[in-house]
Parts: sequence; C-alpha cells; structure tokens
Amino acid sequence: MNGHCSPSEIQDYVTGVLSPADRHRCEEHFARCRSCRSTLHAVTRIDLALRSIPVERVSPNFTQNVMNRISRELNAPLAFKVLEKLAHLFALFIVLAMLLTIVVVTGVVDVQQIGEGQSVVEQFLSGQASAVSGAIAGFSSWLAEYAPFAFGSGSLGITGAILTVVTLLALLDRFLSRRLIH
Amino acid sequence: MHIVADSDRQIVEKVRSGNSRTYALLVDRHKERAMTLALRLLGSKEEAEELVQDAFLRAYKNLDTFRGDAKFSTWLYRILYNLCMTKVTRRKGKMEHLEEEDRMTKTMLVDDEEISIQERIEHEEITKLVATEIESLPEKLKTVILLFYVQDMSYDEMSAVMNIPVGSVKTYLHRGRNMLRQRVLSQLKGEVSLT
Repeated sequence: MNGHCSPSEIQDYVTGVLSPADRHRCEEHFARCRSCRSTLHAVTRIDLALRSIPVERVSPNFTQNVMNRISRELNAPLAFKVLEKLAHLFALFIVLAMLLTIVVVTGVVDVQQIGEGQSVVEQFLSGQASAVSGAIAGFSSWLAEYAPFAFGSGSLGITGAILTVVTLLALLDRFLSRRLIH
Repeated sequence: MHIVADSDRQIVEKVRSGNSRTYALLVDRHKERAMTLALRLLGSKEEAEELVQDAFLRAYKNLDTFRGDAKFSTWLYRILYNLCMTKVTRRKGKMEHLEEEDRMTKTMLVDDEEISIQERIEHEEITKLVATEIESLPEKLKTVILLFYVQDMSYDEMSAVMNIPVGSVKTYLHRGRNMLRQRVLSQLKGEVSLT
C-alpha cells in the first residue's frame, strides 16, 4: 500500500463521516502529500458546488394553477368522482373478463363440458350471467333469513344489499388507490 | 409583533379540517425545491412543472392518508419521485438504457489519476461543470445526490422517498459522488491538457 488516501476516504473526510483515527491519518498524510491535497481540494470544491446548486424557479402563476386544479376537483360532479374512485376496479374487472375469455377461447377449459350448439363466448357469458343471478338470489335469501333487520326484505333488502356491496367495492378500490399512491 | 409561521403539519391539519385554501402555503413553501428535483430528473421545464403540479394535486387528494410520522415534504417528494420515474421509464427506450450502462462502465474505468489542477479550479466553473455532469448521471444516483445536497434530506428521508433501504441510499450516494468526481476531474484534466 502506498499510503495515499483513497478518493472515497477523501470524500468521507470532506463529508465528515470518517472515523477519528482515519481522519487523523488522512490529515497527517495531506500535510506531506501534494497529490492527495490536490484531490482533497478538488473534492471540497465539488462538494461546495453541489451544496450551492440553485433551486429552480417555477412560473409565476404556479400556485394559482395548482389551487385552480384543486378547486376543479372539489367542484367536480358527484358521478365523476364516483367513477374516478372506481376506475381501478373497472379496469380490474375488464382485465379479468379478458383473461377469462382468453382461457375459454384457447381451450384451457374443456368446451365440450359447457355444451355444444352455442358459441363459446355465448356459453361463457350466459354462464356468468346465471352465476351472478344465482349469487344475487342466494345472497338475497341469505339476507332474508339471517339479516332481515339490517336490510328488510324483498326489493328493499336487495337494494340495501347492492348498496352495501358497492360500498365495500368502493372501499376496496380506495384501499388499492392508496397503495398505488404510497 | 413576531409572527411564527405554521409548520407543515399545522397547515395539513388546517386543510384537513376544511380550510383548503391554506394548502397554497404548502405549495409555495415546497414548489421550487420540488421543481429542482423534477427538472433535473426530466430535463424539460414544461414536463417538470406539470408533474410537480400533479404531485401537489395527488398529495392534496390523499391528504387524509398522510399519517404525519414523516415530514410532509418527504411524502410529497415520494409522490413526485414516483411520478418522475414513471415518466422517465416510459420515455426511455431500451437502446438508450444500454447506452447509459455503457457510458457508466466507461466512466468507472477512468483512473483516479491525480492532476495538478488547483489553479484551474474556480468555484463558478466547477459549479457549472457539476451541474452539467449531474444531468448525465443515472436517475437513481442523480436523485440521491439532489435529495442530499439540494433538499438537505437525511438517509432515512431519502430511503422513504425512493422506497429503498437506507443501505442502498448510502451506496447510491457513494457511487454518485465517485462518478461525479471522476467525470468532473476528467473534464478538468481535458481542459488542462488542451492549454
């Protein structure tokens, strides 16, 4: 080892994160080595230059523009806000629907089992529709049996249940949005 | 009469309690430093300003999720950094990325040869050179350099902004400084040899 301070050590010396022992060793070396002093000088000047990088100016009406955009957001129609909140969820549904369609069309699922005479897509869609209506019917009968006080019965109960599901979906979407932001 | 300005946290509380116009104070307080980061990362003033606006808007919309265990500025820069990185990633073609890697490798091979340059180092000249060389650093190295020197952030804050461990922040900072030093010195060496 030639005894020179490494450039990293010199950088740490300038930043002030070198251990006291190494700091002392470097200082002794700087006193007798012109080359390391030269590097020290350069690193110090670069460090100073970095600390004096000017902050950038923004346009004069920047803050007003931001506040105008916020104001527009606040005054946006409720329907738009709801749609915006559910945007991620809609996108997720579309992607899932596409994936399911691809799975069915490419034959990963045995089409013969679904039945012949109708197109695969029709079968798929009708299957989905009956699954959804079955689920709603099941959910509604479950409500009628177990939660009549919460939602009432008949159409009122179903409306209440749908509203609950939508709220839950909105909350899920809100949660996902936060995860994306952070 | 001595008036003490509200802290960021106090302003956030006011906005949360319905005084949305107070948010302008936060925008005024952080817009220029945010712009410095965005401009250095994106290179275009128009794009940078638009993205900084977007960051402020997103921060406002999600203010109820701001927990307050970090500074507002750290949280804001994290949103801004993510927006900038998304933009940079979209913009950057694969070829450009490869060229960047190639340039990095070449720079790392430059010797730390000591040059007698003391007389040539004038503050303004070196500041200009440093500003130019920062532009050509890879995004992550550029970001840590800017967060450390311009935003005056701690390692923990930088880690939160970039969503990387503190150890990686230190490594990037070390690499960024080394690369910058090598590039600046090699530029100065070139100028010296020309004279």
